Amino acid sequence: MLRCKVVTFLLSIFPFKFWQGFLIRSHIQKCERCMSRVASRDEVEALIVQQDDVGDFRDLWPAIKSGVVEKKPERKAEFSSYWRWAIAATGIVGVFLAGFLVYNFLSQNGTILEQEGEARFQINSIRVGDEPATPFVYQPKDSDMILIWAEKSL
Amino acid sequence: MTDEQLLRSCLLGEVEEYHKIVERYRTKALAIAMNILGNREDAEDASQDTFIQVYKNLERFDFQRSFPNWFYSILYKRCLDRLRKRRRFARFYQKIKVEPSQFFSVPPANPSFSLLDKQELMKSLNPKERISLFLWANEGYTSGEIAIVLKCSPSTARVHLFKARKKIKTLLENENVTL
Repeated sequence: MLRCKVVTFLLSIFPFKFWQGFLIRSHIQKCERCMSRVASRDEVEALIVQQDDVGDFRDLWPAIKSGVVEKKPERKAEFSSYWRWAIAATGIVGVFLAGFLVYNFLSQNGTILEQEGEARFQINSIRVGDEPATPFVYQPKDSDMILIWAEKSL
Repeated sequence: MTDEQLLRSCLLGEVEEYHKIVERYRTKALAIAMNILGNREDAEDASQDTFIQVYKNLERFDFQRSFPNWFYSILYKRCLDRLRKRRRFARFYQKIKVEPSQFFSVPPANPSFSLLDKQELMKSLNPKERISLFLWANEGYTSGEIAIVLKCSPSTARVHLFKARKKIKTLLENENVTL
């Protein structure tokens, strides 16, 4: 009896669900005296609206059917497929544009390098077998090819 | 056919199979909604919205879990939406100084004294307590199962159920009602 009163007091002073749940589980649910102070299943069953109380009501199916056949998911799919195509097309255009820009950039840089290379091309000295050698530079007519060879100085 | 079989057919686009699910759960859904909302009109609308939402979200349903739990959880949320809407209406009509009760207290289509009486008693409970009571008394749900529907901890569900039962007992004793 005293324990029931203590539990009821503790239940009322700390409004924390965890604490209250603990007290209910640890004492109230096991105590006949405490359980007699709450409504039984029979009392609750008699009180709540039961399925039998519902009686006749409007047929929900036509409205539900029109709601589910509204094709909202399909509309979503159409919407998403539309965006998928748009993103794919933008991606392709982007790739082409990026390719064009990269090509332009590289080709420009390549030209500059070549020019710089031609401008700096020079032979200061050539040695063959640790001996000074004579260099020969030959470029055939109408060709970008340059042949370089060295000949031992006699 | 089991719920799972019917739902899998629905996922394949068999809308008519969903009719069977609706038939299976509609009375129960309406009873729960009437317990939470207290009137038939709103209960019918909430049930209808729930069935539509359930169908549209079937792809998200985890077949490892209980369908009724998932269904009741959605139904409970739809009922809360209705209650919020009703409160907004009440505030609006209070502002324009019109008696709000005539707008949102729709009597049942076939009112019976006992049903109205029950609804009056149930008004003393909050929605969580009402659905906890229904699931416990009618469906035999434990605190753990109620917690899944309410999306709270079992401890919290236990408290809701206990408080509801205690309130009911107190009311019955005060009113000297014998059920």
